[in-house]
Amino acid sequence: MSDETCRVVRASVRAFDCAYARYTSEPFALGRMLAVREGRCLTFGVVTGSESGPDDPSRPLVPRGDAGQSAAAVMADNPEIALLLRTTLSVAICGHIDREVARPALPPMPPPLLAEVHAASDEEQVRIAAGGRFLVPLLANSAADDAVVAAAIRDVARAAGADGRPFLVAAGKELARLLKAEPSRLTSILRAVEPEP
Amino acid sequence: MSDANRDPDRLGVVVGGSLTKGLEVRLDPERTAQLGQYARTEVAGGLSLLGMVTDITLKSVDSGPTVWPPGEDEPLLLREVLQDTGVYTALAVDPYLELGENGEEPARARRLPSHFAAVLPADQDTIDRAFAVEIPNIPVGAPLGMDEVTVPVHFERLFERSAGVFGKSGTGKSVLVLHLLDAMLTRSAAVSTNRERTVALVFDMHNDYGWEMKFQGQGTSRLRSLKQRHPTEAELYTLEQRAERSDGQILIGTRDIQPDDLEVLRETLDLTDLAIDAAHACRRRFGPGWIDAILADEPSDDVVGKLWRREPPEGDVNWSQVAAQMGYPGSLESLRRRMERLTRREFVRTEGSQFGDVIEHIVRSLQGGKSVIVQFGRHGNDLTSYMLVANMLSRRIWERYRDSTERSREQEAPNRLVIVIEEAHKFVDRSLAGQSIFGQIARELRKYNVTLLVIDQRPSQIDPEVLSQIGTKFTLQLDSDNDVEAIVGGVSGRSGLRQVIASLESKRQALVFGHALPMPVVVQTPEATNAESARASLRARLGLPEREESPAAALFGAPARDSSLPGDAS
Repeated sequence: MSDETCRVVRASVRAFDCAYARYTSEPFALGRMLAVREGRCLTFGVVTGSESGPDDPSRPLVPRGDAGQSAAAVMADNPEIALLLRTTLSVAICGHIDREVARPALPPMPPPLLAEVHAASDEEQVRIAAGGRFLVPLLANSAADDAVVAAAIRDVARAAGADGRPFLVAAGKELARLLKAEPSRLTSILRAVEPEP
Repeated sequence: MSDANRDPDRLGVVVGGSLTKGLEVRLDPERTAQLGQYARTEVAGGLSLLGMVTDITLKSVDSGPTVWPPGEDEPLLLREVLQDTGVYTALAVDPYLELGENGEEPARARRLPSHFAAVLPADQDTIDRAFAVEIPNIPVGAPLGMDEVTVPVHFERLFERSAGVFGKSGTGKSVLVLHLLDAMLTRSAAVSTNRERTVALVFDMHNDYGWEMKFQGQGTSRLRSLKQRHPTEAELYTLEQRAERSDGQILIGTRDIQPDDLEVLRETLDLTDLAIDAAHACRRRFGPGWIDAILADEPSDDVVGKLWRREPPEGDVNWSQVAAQMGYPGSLESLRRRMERLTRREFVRTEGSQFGDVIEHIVRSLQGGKSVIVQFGRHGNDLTSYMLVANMLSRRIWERYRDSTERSREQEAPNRLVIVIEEAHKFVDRSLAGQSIFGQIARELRKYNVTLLVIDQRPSQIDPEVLSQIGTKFTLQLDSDNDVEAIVGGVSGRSGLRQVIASLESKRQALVFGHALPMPVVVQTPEATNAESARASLRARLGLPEREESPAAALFGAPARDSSLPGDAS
């Protein structure tokens, strides 16, 4: 297994966890849409959390390295450390593609364990997130806090390229409908999506 | 419907409403609508519903966005997102007509569209189906937001009942009236039988409708008026002795003035009830020459003889004694002073009866299919002169029409006469409507083939009973709430119409509704122009060939001018 490969290690129809074989300093970013392209359908989810640390909690990581030394340099000087560390991601499922039909809804079954996890392509992101409807399953997951939702919207807007602005507005309107009882939350998410001018 | 399938013209969707209170339409984001604009939607059975936007409201789904509105420093996205989600614009649309697909007569709206039915702006096809597109009709302008579309008003229906043009000064009333009269004369010139002709008797206070109209506008400042446009179909009378281009002068002899003619001058001449009673008494005692009699410096022997038949007082009798003898001690003197003021006018001649000839000639012209414009020249600023002449002429001409109608069999009934009066409220206010001939004409509708076209700035001053008989109303901008209320009083959907009138622009924008139209419409009224293209368009609308010649003129040439016109023809 390549160090850069990420695989499903825990799965349900609402969320899954995936892990790299080792520690990585550049895992998939918060809010990034990921794809599992194995199983009965393609499953898509948004990164809601990212955690790196020792595999064995009874053997905590001890700080090493000289003053002024970078993390990469310390790792290079102590290659055995990387063998004891791992990076794990939490993902909230936000849609699936079944027989070429994109559905911004929970999949009929969880993604297979140990299936490879990849970054969704720009086209997949735009299809799943069209009209901002991917926010419905996303917001139903308690792990998707304001920062995650804002990052996910921002990321899809980037993937949409020239159609990014219309997507932002459409997603914002969908969000407004979903959060009609929480106007302050809506405001804070939209502020995070588009910073003050 | 997804955004991709949405009609690009769509204004919004129906989200509520009732037939009596109108439809509530949620306006699509990025779309705008104007008060008075036409909107259409589909109802069951392939019918279209045509309505008018009568109100526009800003609404919020809940209190959040209005309690904590986004500040100026908030991201633009927040404002964009809240539009149409947290807040939205709602239109009130009054449904008026149901239109079939197969050319059926438009019917009063009796059905509602379903929820979320798409609402679109009306197009030319909808307007054509809704309005009388069959000729003859008069184009009265473009509906709001539809510059390429023209609204037609049914010619016959417009003039078969009284009509009114209302609006404050400078809104374009005169240009609109000229347009309507131009259409009338154009149409009348082209029909073959006299009975089909509609003619106008215009009391032209400000010299607008005779030779030319001066107006404030871009480019042209003088508009060719009826006499220039229809030299053989219009006759021009003036009150001035030496007026250019006049076909005759209106002269009134003191023997022509009856006490009834003074009733409408109560306000302008400051005549009391007792003074009017005194006038009646003088007429009874002294006969047709009563005004000349009371204007003499000293009571004549004839006057004395008629008052003291058995035992006249000794010595010279003065007017105080005459007044006391008649039972009007103060009022007769007051009446004498006012009659003296009245008879100073250049068109009033003492010791004579001139009016009969004038009436005779005008009636002959009118019943012969020509329209008559009475220009007041410098007397236009003198309301007393205007009211005296308009009332005296109208009363006598109406009597002639009444007699002709009652005498005639149906086939020979006189042609339709439309009397055009300005400052109408002076003639038909609450106190005078009973006495004024104009109140009577309005109330009798088309019984004697005489109707009114009233032009006024203060419709609230007009007797409500008279106003209610005005069939078609052209309403330009009005300032006073009372005037607006008077116009829409008793009309279904009046609250919406009130809003529409209140929003009219200060020039060339009118709400037209009533007998000649199937539903109210706000139009940009026709531009003041001398362009031949506009006249050709008007002729086409009236169902006439391009060639501007009456059938008679085409066959026999223009009729020779009658040389026996009364007064000082110039």
